[in-house]
Amino acid sequence: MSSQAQLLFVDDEPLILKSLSLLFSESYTVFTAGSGTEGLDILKRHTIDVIISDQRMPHMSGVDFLRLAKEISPNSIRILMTGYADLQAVVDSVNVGEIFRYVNKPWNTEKLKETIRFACTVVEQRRAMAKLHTTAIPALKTPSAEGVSEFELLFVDSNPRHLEQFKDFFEPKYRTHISTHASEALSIIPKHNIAVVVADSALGEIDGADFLIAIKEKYPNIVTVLMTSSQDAKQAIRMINEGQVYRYLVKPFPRESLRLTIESAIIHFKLLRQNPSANLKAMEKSFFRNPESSARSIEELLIQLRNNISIKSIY
Amino acid sequence: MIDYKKIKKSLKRALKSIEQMELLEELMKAQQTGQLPPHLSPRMLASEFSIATQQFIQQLQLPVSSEPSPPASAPSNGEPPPMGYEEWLKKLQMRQGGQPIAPAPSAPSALSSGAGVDEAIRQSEARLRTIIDATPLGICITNADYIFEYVNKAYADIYGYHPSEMLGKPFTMIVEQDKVDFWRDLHDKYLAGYKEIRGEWNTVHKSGKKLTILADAARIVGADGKPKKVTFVMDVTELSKLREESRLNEMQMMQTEKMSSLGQMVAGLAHEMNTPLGFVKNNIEMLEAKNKETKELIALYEKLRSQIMYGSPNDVALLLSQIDTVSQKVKNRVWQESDSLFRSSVEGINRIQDLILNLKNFSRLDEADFKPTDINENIESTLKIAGHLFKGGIQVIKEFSPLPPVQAFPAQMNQVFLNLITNAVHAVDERTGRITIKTMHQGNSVVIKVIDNGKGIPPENLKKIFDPFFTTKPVGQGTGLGLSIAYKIIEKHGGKIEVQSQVGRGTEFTITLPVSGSAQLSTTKQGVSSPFADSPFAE
Repeated sequence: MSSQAQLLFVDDEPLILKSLSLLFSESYTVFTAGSGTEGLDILKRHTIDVIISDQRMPHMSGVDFLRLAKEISPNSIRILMTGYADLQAVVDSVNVGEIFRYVNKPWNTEKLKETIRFACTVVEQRRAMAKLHTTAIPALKTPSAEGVSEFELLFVDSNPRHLEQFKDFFEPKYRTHISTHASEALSIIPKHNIAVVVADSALGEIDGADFLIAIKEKYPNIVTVLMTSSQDAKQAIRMINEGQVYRYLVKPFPRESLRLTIESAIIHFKLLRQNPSANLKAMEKSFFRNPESSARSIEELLIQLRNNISIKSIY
Repeated sequence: MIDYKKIKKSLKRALKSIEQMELLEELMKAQQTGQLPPHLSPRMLASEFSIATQQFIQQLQLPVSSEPSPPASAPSNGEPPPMGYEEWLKKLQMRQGGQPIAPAPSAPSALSSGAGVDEAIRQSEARLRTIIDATPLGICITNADYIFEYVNKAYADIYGYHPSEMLGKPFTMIVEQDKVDFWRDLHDKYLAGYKEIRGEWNTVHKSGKKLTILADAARIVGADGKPKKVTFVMDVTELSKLREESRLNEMQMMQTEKMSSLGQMVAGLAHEMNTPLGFVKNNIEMLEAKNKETKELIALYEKLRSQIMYGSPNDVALLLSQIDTVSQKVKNRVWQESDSLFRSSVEGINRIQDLILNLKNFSRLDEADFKPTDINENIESTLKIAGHLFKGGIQVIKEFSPLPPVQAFPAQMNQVFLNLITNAVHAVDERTGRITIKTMHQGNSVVIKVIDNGKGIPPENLKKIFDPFFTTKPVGQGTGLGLSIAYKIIEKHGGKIEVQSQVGRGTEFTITLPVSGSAQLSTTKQGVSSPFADSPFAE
């Protein structure tokens, strides 16, 4: 490698920074910052590939820092690594910080190394793509007011009344499919141009989180959104690390926030299609040569996934 | 003659006192003893009710046996004990401008002479009957054979009977059938003058439904010269249900508050422990790898030694170059920094050890009892537990004076300190915040002050801060119970908690605790006298 990839660690604990920089200094150029403010300063002056930040820090939380970091350095991959974060912080890290991974302290060294190695490859590809197409990010045009979008939505919820409301709300602008069952929903996807799948976490026999993780595994381009009324930080962390979920909505939410979520999910979908390096899930699959899933039913798919997760070398 | 207004007022007071029961206080007691009080302060209720009924008796001028009702034992909350009947009677008579009258002479001797007297008695009886029938208070007269000699309409209504269905029947028709013996015994003892009735009791409606009644009684001598019991009854079933419901609600809220402070604490502690764990683990892993390389180096060196003695120069040269390569590898930054890695690992472990020790000190689970407590030490361990809150520029100033041990529940004291410190942290600016904790020994008291230079509390909120559920935090971020619990805890310890605040300048909380502890606390364990609703006087 002509130039080493550059990492930025942000933590208010100097001993963490020292320990981490010793761990990575052999293979990377390591920057450390004791606060979010210091971190932003470094981002302005250097091209950073991967940002790893603590959550609980005085003055500026990790999520707040990562949100600002995203603006300064959109191509960098963001990882939140923390000793403890409440559900709100985890949810914000998805929705606001758009993080790639959530890592608990104390970390698993081998997994952390692999995660960072993978993240660096993704960033490298993003940069190469950006050089080829001068515009890495597609023009963010929303369809004209009267036109029907070419993109279709799929809502999965065990409550048929909620489903009807979603359909009413998004049609006719988006063709909206609804289903109360995960297996039925899975059979809808290959027949349509589905861009976004929104699922409730409680789907009866199957966990909605599992369902979305499975969808993302099989169709990495589809953008997934989880709706949940149960407040479960552990599930939220799984959705980030395993499902690369795009948004995590806590029910009940305002209509407007769902509309905005869908609009931005569609934009994200276009980005994923046009720029494969933006698709972390697809990259992960090819990077680690995950076999193409041959599973037919949702149950089979979930079993395969569980096996994959147990042997996964990254977070 | 009959001051209905007064009766009504007394009844109203009785009702009000039920509503005003200090639920929280009882709950705190329940937390300490692990027992739930079956009813909240029946004594207080009873004393109010008793005044109302005695007033009633007086107004009716019933001949009352001269033996005064023993006053109910003093309520534990420091209120004056209810007046003895005689004392009360005298007071009332004086107030009405009359002479204190002696209890009426026993009926037969007083009523045995002259037609004029007979007429007067008839009139008096008619008047009484009218009054008694009209009163909303249930009244019955029972004789030594447990028979209802009289019930008024209100009394029969309470139990769902017509008065004619009760008259001439034993009063045990309205009690739980497996407790008939207990009630007869009580009745005997009451008439004999050594049991009291005042309080809440469980009785049974005609339909079989259980009723909670508030009762008081008086001993009279009947026209036949025999002792009778006049009982005054009020149905408080609905009220006691309401009380139970609100008690459960409060319990839930207390639990929520406990869980929410616990949740915050767990979050803080988890982070405080996982951070050192993170670098300690990583350091050890790096040093372990270094150790492997060093061992490799030693093995090469041993080979070299034997090669120098017995091997060819080529072999030696090869080994030397291998040693060079490995030693180059060993001497990377981890190796250079290994001393400080070891040191910081030990420091990290010390930090975790310290946190665990303080957590143990803080919870004081191993010393749940009321005992001599070093307040300074408790504040220290609370500060360590709250340490993660001070991460910004918040300055903590400790001005501790030597203190004598205070009789206290250490864990509860810590809860109070944690609450005040947490509030102070929330009130101050992250950069310029200053929290001063002072302790002083003043006379027979220990004074603890928690002073902050935060945003202060507006006067309109200041008087509400100790109210349960009062909070200025957004929904979901505070239960509004923290300070009300602190207040209760300090009150339980016989101390007081005061607050002074100026908007924009800061807030000062002052806790004063008696050094010798309080009588209240030492009796807490006996405070819940009986788990049975039907024996309020059993101590």
